[in-house]
Amino acid sequence: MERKFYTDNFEQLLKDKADEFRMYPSKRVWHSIYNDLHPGRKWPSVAVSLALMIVLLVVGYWNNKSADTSFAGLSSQKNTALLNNRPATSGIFQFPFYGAVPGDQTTVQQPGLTSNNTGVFPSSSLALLTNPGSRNSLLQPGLKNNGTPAGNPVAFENIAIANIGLNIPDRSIVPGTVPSENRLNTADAAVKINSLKDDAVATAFIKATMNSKNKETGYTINTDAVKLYNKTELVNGNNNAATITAEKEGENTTTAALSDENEKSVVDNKKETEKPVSTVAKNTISTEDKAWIEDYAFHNKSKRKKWQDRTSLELYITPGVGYRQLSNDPKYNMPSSTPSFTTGAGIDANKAVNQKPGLGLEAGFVLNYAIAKNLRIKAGVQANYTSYRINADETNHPVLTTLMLIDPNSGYPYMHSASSTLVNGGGAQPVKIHNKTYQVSIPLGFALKLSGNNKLEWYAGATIQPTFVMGGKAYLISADRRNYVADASLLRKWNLNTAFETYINYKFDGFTLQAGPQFRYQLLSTYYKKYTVNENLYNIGIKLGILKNF
Amino acid sequence: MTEELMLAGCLKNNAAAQEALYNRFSPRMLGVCYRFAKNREDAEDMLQEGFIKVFTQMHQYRNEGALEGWIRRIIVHTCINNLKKNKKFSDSLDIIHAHSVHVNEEMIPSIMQAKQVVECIRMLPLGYRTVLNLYAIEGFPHKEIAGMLDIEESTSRSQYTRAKAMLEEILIRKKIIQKPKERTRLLASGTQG
Repeated sequence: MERKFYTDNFEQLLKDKADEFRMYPSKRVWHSIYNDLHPGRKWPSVAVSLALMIVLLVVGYWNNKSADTSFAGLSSQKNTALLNNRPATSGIFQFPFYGAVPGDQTTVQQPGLTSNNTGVFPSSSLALLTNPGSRNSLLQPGLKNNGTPAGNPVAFENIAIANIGLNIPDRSIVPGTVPSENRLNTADAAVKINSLKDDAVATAFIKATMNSKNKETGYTINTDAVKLYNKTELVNGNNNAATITAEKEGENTTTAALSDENEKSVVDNKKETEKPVSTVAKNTISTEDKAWIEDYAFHNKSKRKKWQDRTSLELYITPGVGYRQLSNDPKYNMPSSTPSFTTGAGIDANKAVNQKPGLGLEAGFVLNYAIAKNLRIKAGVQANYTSYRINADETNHPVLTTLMLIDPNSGYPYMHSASSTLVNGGGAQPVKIHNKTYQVSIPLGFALKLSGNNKLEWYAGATIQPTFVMGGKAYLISADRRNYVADASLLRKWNLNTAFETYINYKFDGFTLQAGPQFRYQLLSTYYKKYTVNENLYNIGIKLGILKNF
Repeated sequence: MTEELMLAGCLKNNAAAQEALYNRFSPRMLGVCYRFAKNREDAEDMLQEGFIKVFTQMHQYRNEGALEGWIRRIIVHTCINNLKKNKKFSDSLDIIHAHSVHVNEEMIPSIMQAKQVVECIRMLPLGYRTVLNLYAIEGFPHKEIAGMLDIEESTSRSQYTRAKAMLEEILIRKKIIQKPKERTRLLASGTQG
């Protein structure tokens, strides 16, 4: 019989406490529900993605088209003089060319917290205050309690500590003994609220009550172990941090007089503490409470699971098309006064080369780590293949041509002569030559979740990619823009790329599939600095990946 | 906004009414989901799925009971369906002799009593926790629980008995509750001392 009574009470206790429990969902949940119920509003997001893709494709197309157009003009100016003056044997000549010279939480403060009645608060009671997951901090400089036992509740209630194991030896604090508003105003110890800053903190209050028996359940609620979380509205209005300063000490009563703006809410709070346990626990939780609880829940997962839940392995492949952007170094443009090269002088290398996009490919893996709910950082290894095609002509015989290079020691440009059978138009037969590189890079970046639900998520991200170029083929445009010279030795070994991407994640059976457009841009020239034409590659592709959480 | 207005608005797919209804009931419903889910994110996913069902099935609500009860029932069923997709869940229902749960003093946040109790419930093995949630808190009979979880009624009973014993042990060890007898003894010794 006793057992049944005990059992029923236990179940009732569970039900009561479970029903009291509330959590506040993040905004993401409502946004997802809203998007699901009102799908029409999704379209702006999709439209932006499509617009981005279209813009990238159009830019690529126009870039390619303009190169073709310019090349047509160049072809009509063919000058065969050099061909006629070529040496009998192919070789390399160097002669100096003296052209232009390269120029060139709110803090937690709790000092000296002492109490004649309660002793020093155990360190465990400060755990909440120093909890990194808590956005709320509590400031209690120099707060002392010398008072009579009966006068202490207010002081306790205003000491913002909420933690298990807070041991209060002095049992004379009577639950429900709450000072009147007038008493608060005439308190000896003045507690002021100042130094208010944005984005900080609410102050949590403890209801330090004695062990009280829950008559309804037959269980004892050990409130020494469980301090009711009774959040004050103290700084609700300004959402600020509070510095509590005890102005007077050494008096018998440690009550608190709060500043006018907060007085009412504190008094309200005191009134609430007079309510029975169950009523207090049902208090409406403020916005700050919600934020606190969310933050607490997010940051207080068990350690073993934390990294596993947050870490995922991503494998991906990104087929795409490769383009390039050539640019002359303005310091080393061929001067028009140089007789031998006047026809090619000053012609923009980008327009001179008739290029077509080539296939590119990226593949690799990265480890993602969620540092926030919507933000992941990533690092990994990626292999890249870049290429683009050049429409050229082949001659039946080698011709002498030159590359303008910079002497790294003197800084002066010089003409590096070479022979070639590839000409930029006007040859015996058209050929397509491929400039390509094989690279290994280390993508480091982040991905930001823009929206999503439990199945679909939309991310945008960026990476910076230190890149090692393992090899490739390089056909370089000559100084007069008439020939192509194969010289892979000028390929820069170390480069730097960046990539921007947006993609959709689709979750299923513990895996996540992802797909979306990616734009990758090479920040440094493909070639060493001594080559006076800069080449920046860029690729536009579709990233396809699969993720698995640990 | 009154409940009637919210209902009328939701039936017309009015976003403002839907948001009002969501704001009113989501905190408690997330608490329900949290008791079933592995973590907060899963709980939010369950809540989202549940509320979508609530809004899409709003026309089925007959005003025959409390709206909150109707919503809660949908949410609970959503949680169960979500759990059943996980193979670990069905395995956990077969646990007969679960090991005692190691209670680390730092594992349970001690902010609110209600939260403490819920966190203690969440420390139970998944199968135990689910049955205990459904029986003790949600008030489903064992027969219905058996149907929901595709298990025998006797299994549900035994799971609940073990779950309750384990939870009691956790709560007592965490000094959140004391048995009445112990309390009496404690008070008596305190008086004598």
